Amino acid sequence: MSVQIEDSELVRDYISGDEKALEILINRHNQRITSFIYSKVLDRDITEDIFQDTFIKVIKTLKKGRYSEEGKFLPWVMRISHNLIIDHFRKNKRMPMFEGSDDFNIFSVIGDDKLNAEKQLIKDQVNSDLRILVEELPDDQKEVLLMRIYKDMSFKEISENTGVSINTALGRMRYALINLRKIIEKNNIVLTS
Amino acid sequence: MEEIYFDYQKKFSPVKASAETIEFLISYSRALYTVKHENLKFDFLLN
Repeated sequence: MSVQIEDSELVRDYISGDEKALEILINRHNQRITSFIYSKVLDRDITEDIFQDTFIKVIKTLKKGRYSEEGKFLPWVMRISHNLIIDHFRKNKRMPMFEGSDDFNIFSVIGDDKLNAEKQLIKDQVNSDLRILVEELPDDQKEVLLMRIYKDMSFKEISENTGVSINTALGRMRYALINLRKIIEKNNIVLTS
Repeated sequence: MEEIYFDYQKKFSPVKASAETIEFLISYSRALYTVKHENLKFDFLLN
C-alpha cells in the first residue's frame, strides 16, 4: 500500500531543491485548480494562461522562501488563481471593445453604473476579504479604520469618540493602512473592485 | 432547459491543464534561481 506524501512535505522538499516534488504537487491539484479557473472564465486558453501564471507565482514565492502557510497549500494556490481570475476580468473591463470598423460605438466605452452579477460577486468577495484582513489589525488601528471607512466618521468625530487627539487618530489610520498593505503583500492577495 | 443544463455541464465538468503547460512550469522552475544578497533577493532564469 502506497502512502501519499502530504502537500506540506512536498512543499518542504521543493524548497530544499527537490524539483520532482513540484511536479507531484502540480499533477495532484491540476484538475481541481484548472476546473475552478475554467468554471469562472469558461475559456480553455484563458484557463491555461491563468493556471500557468498561478504556478509561476507559486514557484517564485516558494523559491524566495516567502511561503508561510504550511499545511494549506491548495487553499493558498486557489487563492492566487482566484486573484488572477479577478485580474483577468479587471483587465478586460479596462479594454473597451470597439464593434465594427467604421462606427464608434459610444456604449462600448461608457460604463453602466449598475453592477452586473459578476462585478457584484467580485465586489462582495473583496468586501468580505477586506473585513477578514481588518480583523488582523491591532485593536486601536482597527477601531479608527472601521469608524473612518465603514461608519464614514470624520477624524474629529473619531477623536471625540475614542478620546485621543486628531493627530493620534490620523496616525493610527496611517499605520492601519500600512499594516493592511503588509498583510496583503505577505499573503499575495490582490484586492480589486 | 437544455441550454441551462449545457451551461451547467460546461461550467462544472472537470478539466485539466495540458501536458505542455505542466512541462513548461517544470522547466521554468528548474531554470529559476533566486540569489540572496544581504536583504535583497534576485531572480535569474538560466536557460
